[in-house]
Amino acid sequence: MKSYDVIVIGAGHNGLIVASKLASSGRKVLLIEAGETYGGMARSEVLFEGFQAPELASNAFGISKDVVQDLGLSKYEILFNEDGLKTVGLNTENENVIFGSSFGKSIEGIGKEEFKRWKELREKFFNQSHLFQRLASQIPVGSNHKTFGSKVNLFLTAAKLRLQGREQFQELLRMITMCIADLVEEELETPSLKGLISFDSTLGIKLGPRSPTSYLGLLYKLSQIKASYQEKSLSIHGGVTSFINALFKSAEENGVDFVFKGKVSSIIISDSVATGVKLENGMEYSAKTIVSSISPVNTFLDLVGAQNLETDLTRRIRALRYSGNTSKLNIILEEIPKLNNSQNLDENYRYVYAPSLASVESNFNSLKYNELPSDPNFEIYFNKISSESSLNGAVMASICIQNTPYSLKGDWKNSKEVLMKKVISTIQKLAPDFSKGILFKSLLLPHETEKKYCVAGGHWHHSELQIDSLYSLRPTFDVSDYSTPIDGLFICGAGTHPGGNLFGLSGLNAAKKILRESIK
Amino acid sequence: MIQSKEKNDRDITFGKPLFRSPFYDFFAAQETEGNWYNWNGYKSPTIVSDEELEYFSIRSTCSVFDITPLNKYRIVGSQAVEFLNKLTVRDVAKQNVATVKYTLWCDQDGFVIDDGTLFRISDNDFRLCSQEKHLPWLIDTSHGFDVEIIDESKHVCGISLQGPTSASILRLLGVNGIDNLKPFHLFQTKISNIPIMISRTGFTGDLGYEIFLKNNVANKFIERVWNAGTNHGITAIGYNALNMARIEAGFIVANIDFISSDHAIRANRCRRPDDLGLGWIVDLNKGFFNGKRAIINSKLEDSEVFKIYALEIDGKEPAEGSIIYYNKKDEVGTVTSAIWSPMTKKSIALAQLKLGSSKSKIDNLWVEIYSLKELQYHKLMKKVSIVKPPFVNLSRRSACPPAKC
Repeated sequence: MKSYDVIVIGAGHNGLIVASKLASSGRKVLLIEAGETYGGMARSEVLFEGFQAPELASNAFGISKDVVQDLGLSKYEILFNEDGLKTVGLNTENENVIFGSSFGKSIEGIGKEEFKRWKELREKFFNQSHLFQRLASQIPVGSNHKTFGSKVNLFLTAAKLRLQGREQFQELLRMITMCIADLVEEELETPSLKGLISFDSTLGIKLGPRSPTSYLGLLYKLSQIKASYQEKSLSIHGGVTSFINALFKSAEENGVDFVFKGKVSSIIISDSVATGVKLENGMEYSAKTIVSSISPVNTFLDLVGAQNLETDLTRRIRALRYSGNTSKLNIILEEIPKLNNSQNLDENYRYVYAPSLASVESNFNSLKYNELPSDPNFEIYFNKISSESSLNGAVMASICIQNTPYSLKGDWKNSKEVLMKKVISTIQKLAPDFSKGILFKSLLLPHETEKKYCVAGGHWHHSELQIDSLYSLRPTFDVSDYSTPIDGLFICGAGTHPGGNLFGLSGLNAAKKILRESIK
Repeated sequence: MIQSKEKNDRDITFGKPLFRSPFYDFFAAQETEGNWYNWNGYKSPTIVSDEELEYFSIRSTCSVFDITPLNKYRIVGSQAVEFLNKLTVRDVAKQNVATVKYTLWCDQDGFVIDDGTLFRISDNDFRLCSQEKHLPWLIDTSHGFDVEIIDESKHVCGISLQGPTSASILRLLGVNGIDNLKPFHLFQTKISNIPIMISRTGFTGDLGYEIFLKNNVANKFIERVWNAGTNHGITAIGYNALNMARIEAGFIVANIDFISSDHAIRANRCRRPDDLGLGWIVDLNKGFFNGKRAIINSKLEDSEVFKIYALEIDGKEPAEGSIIYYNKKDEVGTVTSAIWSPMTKKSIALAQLKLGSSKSKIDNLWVEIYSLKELQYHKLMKKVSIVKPPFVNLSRRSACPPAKC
């Protein structure tokens, strides 16, 4: 049996970060991945005629600057969006709203008065997002983790919020658990602007704009923008892949060993101490430290097994809300289609179809009852393909469809086609030539993501990013400090604090925790 | 007609619609006191006719007590042993088929949720009886194990025959093998073609048997037992008499002598097995089980905790609910169960005391008893001595074969 200092399970971005960071401290690290290649849910897949692209992650709001600096990733080529990403709020009835970069610093298509009100609201949003931004890079203070430093940081975070002034602080307390619908309706008038903000607040989480605490979804997103590397998002064109490649190179250079196509079947545990892992093909590896970057549900229930865990913990893990609610539609088109107004759809924009707040809410209502939305909301990125093959010049449209149920009432057999048709016909209304040029299309539903990417529920965030599962409650209060009741086993996936997209801080925080533990 | 009218009258005193055990009619026909209580949702007799006579039937003849209201869980499946090893603190793999073990189970902090008796019927077939309801806990614990948990509380009824003549009555009923049945062993047999499971267990510290059977044959069965026992002083008893016997035997009851960690609202009310004097049950050498880590860690700490003690008290006043003092002035704990014991002719009690690790306090403990005598309280300060339970140790309890009487 081969022996290592550290075994990392899952080569998603968090797994790569942990592996690279721990290897750079001189440890012998093995990274085991079930898939054929690294990248996890951001990995590239062959989609059509040899064309490769990330099947799920088309863009990320930002990767943490701490991650970039800590691992020295700037020496690799990471493709950022230099000008920031603009968003077009598509609308079949009114004029489209163009939302400037950095979450609407400028907006085209709305009146002066409206923009003035938006500016104030936006400033308030960003001020309040400070709460998350500061806490994101800290190991949560909880029942297991109560160091002086972390307590001081928690106190300073609260103090800093309070020092913004009495009025600001009261405003934060008023708003923090509110729904995003009430907040935008208080201030704004333009339906598509309200729709756009509601969409961004609730994308990927199982809340509608009228659900209490849906504002937190927005705060979370904004904090990521602020904490990201130079406040930039990854480029639509190969940005995600360049980031994942940089992480892989960094891990490789630090001497991490890799095993691909090696699905871990169980973590070997004797007397509540993890001593190694066992793969499905029968191979075994031993290590004193095992780090799992996969979902906490998979880690605890499948790899550790309920027989090694307290009933209290398995109860909490099983009670996590982890069924995915977003599906991904990839379409390859001959060329970039034109909009109604004969404007080209621009490949540097993000397009969101969420025409109004009511539309986003009614989409969520369908999700609640496990039904397909009648008029689905979605976002699109267009990505020009440049390759040697016949596809050169074609365009890939990555479409992320919000509020797709994990378990549909009835079955998916026909509904999958129906959902695709609904989305395409909506685009068709905006860009009449769209469907003519379709060369290839494929829809990945949450339950298919679950199977293909080995993530329970097929949830992007591994478990819901909501008020009851943030900070020291993520994934549950007793395992929120990345350690687990199994000695030597740590968790570092998106299901831990702070989670979220390609942020990468879950991995970095976990690595710091492991380094600190082993010094002791 | 007259009978049913009587029943209706009686029911008016109850606000709640309570379940009736299959033996209800039998006990209702005997009882004269109208003294019922709600045990786990069942209408159960506190006293049937005379508390003292009922108690003495446990110690000198044979008592019949209805244990139907106990929660009974059937645990069946290829991983039943593994599941029970995670759930409970004993090593179930070491428990032989056809035996019964007293056991308990804890939460993740090592605090006792409840205690109960585990019947191993066959290799992969167990019955767990407990005072409190635990189906959600059992089902949640069973996640990941090939095991089925069946709540048979409503389908299986039970009778406890306790007392020196209980074996003789069973002999009269033609139960072969009663002479060879050792304490904490069980077997399945038939009485007049009624299938029963019989075990030499009980909650009295006396010779006695517990019998489980299907609800639909309950009436026929109890009639046979009653008729067989007429010459052996068979007596139907209520909870009060049983309670006296169980205190004498030093048995504790969840939510009377300690608060189940499931019920405790105040964090400092939870107790670990060691605190209940049941540390000897816990098998730390077996694999993982719920609460193992916390129990091991708690042994390393030297914190002052409340523990259960058996007490003998000077004088003859029962000390129910009294406060225990060190040096007559510092409170150290409370009595949870107390009686004047007819067997030892002493006032005895079970109490939760916080004495710390030093033994210095043990010789200077006092109990403050408020004894109500014709509308006036007599405040008594009585000397307390800690003893090793049980208060009553009867050789007939474990004698095999049991005496013929």
